[in-house]
Amino acid sequence: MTAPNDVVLDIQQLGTAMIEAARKAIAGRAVQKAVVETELRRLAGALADTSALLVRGEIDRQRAERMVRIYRLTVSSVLRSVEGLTLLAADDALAAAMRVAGNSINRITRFKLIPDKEKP
Amino acid sequence: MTARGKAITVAAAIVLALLAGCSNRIAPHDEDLARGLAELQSSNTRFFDELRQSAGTQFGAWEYHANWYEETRAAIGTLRGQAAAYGAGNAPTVEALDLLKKSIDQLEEVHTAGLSAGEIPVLHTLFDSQLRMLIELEAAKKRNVPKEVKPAEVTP
Repeated sequence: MTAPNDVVLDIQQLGTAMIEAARKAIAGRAVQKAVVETELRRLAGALADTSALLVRGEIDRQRAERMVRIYRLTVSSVLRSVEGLTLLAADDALAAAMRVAGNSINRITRFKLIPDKEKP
Repeated sequence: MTARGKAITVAAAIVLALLAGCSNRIAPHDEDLARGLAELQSSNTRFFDELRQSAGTQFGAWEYHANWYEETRAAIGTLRGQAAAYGAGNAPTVEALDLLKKSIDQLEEVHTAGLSAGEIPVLHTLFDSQLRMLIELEAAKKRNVPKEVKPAEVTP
């Protein structure tokens, strides 16, 4: 491959632009981060409430253990959803960085090595 | 551009092209799935409201709600099949639904022995959290909708 002499790629500048694009994409997911935090706080409260039921003698130890079992399943389920949200954020960041990189890299390679991606 | 510069350019381009292949690891938004999850959450809320109102009476007993467990399991199964049709891209949703179903099984076991008034709001929070996050995830997928991806047919 021969790059045209008039095309100079500033790796550092490109890297900075990619990071900035990725950062903006992730910032767009801030609302979801707030939702996740709220949900995890609610779950912490539910665990505290279960302990309170046991301390007050409203449920016995065996029953509290059953409640904790449901609690653990709940947290696992919630974390799977959080995992999905994290992957979405990663995809957004990658797509944003690739759009920025594509402009420069495709000029040098003289074909669309990095294809256009749909805007999320 | 020097030979070293060209080599760096080529290497960077290859890395970026490979990264591009890793993009869109999550399935697209599915309106039917979103609607199904919302209906499940409504049903869940109604169920716990009824339990709260009937706590301490015979109408709060498992026998009066056995159908809800069957219907809920069936609904989760349908949603799971729908989510799984997208393949690995929907693994988080499928796994979260599997855990929701296991939670329902555990809830039913607890319910057969009777639920106290104090337990009901705690359990409601746990199931509401699972469904809210599933709904949030499905809604978040709206931003990443590759038009060429379509789900496979789902056999009920």
